[in-house]
Amino acid sequence: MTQNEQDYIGSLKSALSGTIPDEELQDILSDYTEHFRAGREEGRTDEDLCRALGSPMDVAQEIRASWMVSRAEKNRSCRNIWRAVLATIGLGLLNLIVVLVPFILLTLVLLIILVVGAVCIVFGPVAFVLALLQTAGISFINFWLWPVAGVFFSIGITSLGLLLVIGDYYLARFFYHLGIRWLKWNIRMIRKAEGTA
Amino acid sequence: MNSGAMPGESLCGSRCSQGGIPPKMVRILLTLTAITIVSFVLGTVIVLVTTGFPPVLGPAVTGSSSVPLDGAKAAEIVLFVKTGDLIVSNGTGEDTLLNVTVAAARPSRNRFLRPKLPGIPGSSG
Repeated sequence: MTQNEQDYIGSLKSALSGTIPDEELQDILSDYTEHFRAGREEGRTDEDLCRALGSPMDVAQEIRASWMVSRAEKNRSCRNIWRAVLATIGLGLLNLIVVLVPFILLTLVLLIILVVGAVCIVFGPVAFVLALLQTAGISFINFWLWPVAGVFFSIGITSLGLLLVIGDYYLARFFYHLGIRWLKWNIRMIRKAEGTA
Repeated sequence: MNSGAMPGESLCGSRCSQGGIPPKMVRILLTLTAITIVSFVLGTVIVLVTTGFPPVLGPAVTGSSSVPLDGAKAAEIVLFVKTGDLIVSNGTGEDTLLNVTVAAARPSRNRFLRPKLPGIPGSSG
C-alpha cells in the first residue's frame, strides 16, 4: 500500500498516462493533490488519506472508466463505446455478465436486422423486375409462381428492407444512449459499493 | 453503431430531442410501414383470388346414396363434389362395372367429374 501523497499521485499518474490526455490528467491529479492538502489541514496523515482513497490502481480504473464513458457520450462511435465497455468491465468480474453479454447480444441483434434489411433492399428490386418481366411474358426464368402478386410482394420486400435499415439506425442510436446510461449507473453503483465497504 | 455524427454535432439539429426521431423521418417510416402492409396484403389477396379461396372449414358432411342400376346396359351419373373424397363403387363380384375413387382437391366450379367408364357414352377421360 502506498504510504504518502507523492507515491500515491505518482502511481495514479503512471496508471492513467497514455489513456487520458495530459491536460485532463493534470486536472485529475491536482484534484487529488488538493484532497491531500485539505486532509492534512484537518490533521489527517498521508497514510490515513491513502487508506481512505483506496488503492491507486482501483482509483485509476474507475477514473479511466468514467472518462471513457464520458468520451463515448460526447463522441459517438463504435470504437468509443467499445472502449467504454472494456474499461467498465475492468471494474469488476460481475460486469462481464451485466455489461459485456448484453452489449454483445444487442450488437448481434442490430447486425442481424441490418443484414436482413440490406438483403431485402437488394433482393426486392430484382424480384420486382423479374415479376414485371414474367407478367409481360418475356421472362427467361419463372421466378414467381404468381407474377402479378410478385410485383406487390417485391414492393413490400423493398419497403420492408428500407424500414429495417432506417429502423435499425434509430434503434442503434437509442441503445447507444441507453448503454451510456447503463455504464454510468454501473460505475456509480461500484463507487457506492466501494464507499460502503 | 457509429452514428456518423461529428464530435459534438447533433444528428437531428434543433428539431428533435437527443436520441429522438425527427418528425420528417417519422412520416417516412410510417409511409414505408403502410406501403409494406398494403403490398403484402394486395399480394396475398391476388394469390388467393388466383388459386381460389380455401374452403370454409365446417363440420364434415358425409353421406351415401344408392342409385340402383340393375339391368341397365349403360348409365350416366353426374356427381357434384367440393373438397373431399368421393368413392363410387358397386357391390362385389368379378364382373365389376364400376369401381372408381375420385378425390377433389379443391372446389370444382360446375364441372362434372366424369371418370372414364368403359362402355358408357359421354364419359370423358
